[in-house]
Amino acid sequence: MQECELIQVKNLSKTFTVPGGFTQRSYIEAVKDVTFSLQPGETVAIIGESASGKSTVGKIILGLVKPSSGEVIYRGQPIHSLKGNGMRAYRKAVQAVFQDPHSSLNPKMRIEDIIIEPLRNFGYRGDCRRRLSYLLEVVGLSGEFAARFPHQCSGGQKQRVAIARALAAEPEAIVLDEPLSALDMTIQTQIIALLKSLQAEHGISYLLITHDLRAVKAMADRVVVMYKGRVVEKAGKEEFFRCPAHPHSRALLEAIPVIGGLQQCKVII
Amino acid sequence: MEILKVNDLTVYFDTRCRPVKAVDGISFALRRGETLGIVGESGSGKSVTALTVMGLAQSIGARIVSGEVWYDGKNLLSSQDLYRQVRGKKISYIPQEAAPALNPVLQVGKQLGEMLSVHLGLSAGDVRRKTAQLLETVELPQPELVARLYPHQLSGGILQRVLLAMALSCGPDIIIADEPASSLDTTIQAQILRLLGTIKAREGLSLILIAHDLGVIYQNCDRVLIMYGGRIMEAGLTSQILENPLHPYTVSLLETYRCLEEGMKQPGLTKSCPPASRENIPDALGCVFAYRCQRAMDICFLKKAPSLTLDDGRTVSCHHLLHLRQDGNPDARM
Amino acid sequence: MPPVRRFIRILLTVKPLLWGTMIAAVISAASVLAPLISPVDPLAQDLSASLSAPGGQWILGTDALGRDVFSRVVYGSRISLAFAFWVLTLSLLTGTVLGTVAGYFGGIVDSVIMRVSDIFLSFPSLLLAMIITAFTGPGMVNLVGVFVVVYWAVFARLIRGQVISIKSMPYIDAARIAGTGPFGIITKHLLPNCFSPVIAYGAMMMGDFIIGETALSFLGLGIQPPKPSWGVMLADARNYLFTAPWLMLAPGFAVLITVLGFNLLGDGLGYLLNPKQHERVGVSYGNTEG
Repeated sequence: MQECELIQVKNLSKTFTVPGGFTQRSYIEAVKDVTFSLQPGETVAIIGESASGKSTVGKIILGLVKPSSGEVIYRGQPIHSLKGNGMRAYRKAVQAVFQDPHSSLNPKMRIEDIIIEPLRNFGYRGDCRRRLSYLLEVVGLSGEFAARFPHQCSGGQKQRVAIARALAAEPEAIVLDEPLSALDMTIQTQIIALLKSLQAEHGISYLLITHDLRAVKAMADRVVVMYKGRVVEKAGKEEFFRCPAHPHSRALLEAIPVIGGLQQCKVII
Repeated sequence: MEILKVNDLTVYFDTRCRPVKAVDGISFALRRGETLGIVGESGSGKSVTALTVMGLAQSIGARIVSGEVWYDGKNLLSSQDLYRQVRGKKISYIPQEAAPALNPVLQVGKQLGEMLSVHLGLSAGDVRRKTAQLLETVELPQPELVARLYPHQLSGGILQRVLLAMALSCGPDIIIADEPASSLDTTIQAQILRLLGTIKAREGLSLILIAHDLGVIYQNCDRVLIMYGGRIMEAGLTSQILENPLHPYTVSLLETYRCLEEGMKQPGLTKSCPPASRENIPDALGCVFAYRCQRAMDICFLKKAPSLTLDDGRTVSCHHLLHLRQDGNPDARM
Repeated sequence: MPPVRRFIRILLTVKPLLWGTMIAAVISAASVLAPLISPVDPLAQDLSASLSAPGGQWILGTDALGRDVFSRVVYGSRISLAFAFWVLTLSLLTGTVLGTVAGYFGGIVDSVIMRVSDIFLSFPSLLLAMIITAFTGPGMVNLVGVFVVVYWAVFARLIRGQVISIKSMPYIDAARIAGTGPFGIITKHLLPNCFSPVIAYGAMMMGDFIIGETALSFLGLGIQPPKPSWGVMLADARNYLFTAPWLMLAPGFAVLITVLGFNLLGDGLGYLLNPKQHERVGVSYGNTEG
């Protein structure tokens, strides 16, 4: 089994230092001893409330934050030991889509430049323009969007651009940090459908970081529940929704607003 | 009994090319003691409606073209002075994001106290007592401690509660909540909504709740308006509408919702809702939803659908339904 | 809407921008076209017409040496604008480099650069300029150098603040994930998003530079006579304040209008470059969502 793991997270901890005046400093343990793995082509959801440390885990995996201890292992190699080409290959392999589509696109760049940027950086050999129009098509945007600026697109369209940018690198995994919570429900279903079809087609793994259990239900294969920086439950999706073990998981499930007529899909705990 | 009545409200945004009809001739009433939900996608005009009812349309650059807002026997839109008397006192507002609504350099207790002393003219002692009492009403765990903290020291959920306390401070008749806590965690959002419901029932308030999540609406609202493109598509009792939708738009919203609810097992469903983009929709002569409606007929593109009141009290604006009714099939389902 | 029409529409809506642009344009045109506008050589003396009052042959009169005041004011705009332009360019350049390095890398680099800038900012700027000039000696090139030394810190601080706030935006993380290196992130993502307030502030600072140059030249530490700098002219006018007030009024008014123009321009640009204001002007592509 060891070989087929794409990303393995081992005993990850992160402590933030908060500077407090001249003398005292306080420490926040954002992530504590987190271990899980991501297989090729599967979706793992990290669930938790805000400040549960789930986003920090995502940032560590993306190499944006250095862990205090523990390691992230990509295809058998710890990522902090990667240098030069190895690091570049890892960057290319693991892409991200962030929560807020408004702030995750550079407002001064046109959509085409945003999507071409990773192509250039990762040394794409083919015709960039053709790849651009292909990517726009894949995420369901027409070619006219290429010349637009982000503020000329709606929230859902911007999130599609962000997905196109992530796909441009031909990644093996995408970290989805609350990719839906800034969007309308109709748009949410469209984006989920898009992400699922991309997964089916290209075999991309997703690490879905969210507090929205509906998105989890729609996308995830396995579930990791975090609470106050620690993993409190790991389960398969069916199992998690059937009988969540940790009280915190139960609280999360109970909070989903449901319509009475749909009672059949409400979880009975 | 109707406590607030909105008649034929039309609000435009003047952009460089043509005015955008944010709200296009809507009428509705809020009954005493009820919770009225307004649902719609972004761009449906639900927030603009709320802000206009609060008398704040100008502040977001909108222009009120026509309409009346009747409260307490007066049309509030006829003068700003009337609004000054009721806004924040009789009709109060809870915004979606709590942090920007509070002054970052003032302790929250002070901010709450300031509202009390300015609006109600209470003495210092009364202010202190009332502040503590309000913070207790919103079920804050340690009201004295929270009152002495600054906004950045408090979590989103607590800030929402503080805002709720502020909204309650002058003993309002009506609270308008625009997607309260929807940017927060599901658990916190559920708590805030539950609290809002409890307080509403206890104090006998009327509530307008704006949301895009049908589940939230179903669990919290007595009646609901389904808005699309600045118009009301369907309005009536929540249970009736969400369990037995008649308008094709409501049907598609519910399909989407159900699809998400059931873990997107049938991806085919989403195809029924192509990407919504306001700018692509030309100024509709007919029904605003016609361009997305699978059941659209020729007349839908040409003529505004009249709103039809059914026997069960709900109103639906759809040509299709009208036709079915004329064909003598009153129970026709869409 | 075509860009030209859009620009005109913005100009007409944002009044400070309209006036600022007009004044700046008129003064720039005057300085570029000085040889065409001014009737005589600003240095040509006509002692027979010494201290002539305005009117007739001399639009704004003549000074003690019989030089045409109008010509000198027009040529003076060349000196002031060129001076302000160079100071702005060079101090902005220095400030951008140091501010970006400080803001982006942080840590000890940031501390060192910021403490040095604190030292420069803690002097009254004109006083500092005077002290340095005392060592370097007067003259256009020296004066530009002195002002850059005095004002770089202002821009460095401004840029550093912008860089720090923009550095935490998700699109910077996104760019890093897209494989962009530090240089690309700074040039493509950070700086383009930093510059709006800096440009507005820079336009405003042009006015300050012009006042500074005038003041130092007035004191004899800046541009040296017989060059027709406004400050030099004011210094000359001091002796004839009551007998020939036009000598003082003409350059004084020129300084007033120019500085006012650049301040308005800065104000207008600040308004324009803040995207939140666009909707009010009606030029955005409109996120008209309710």
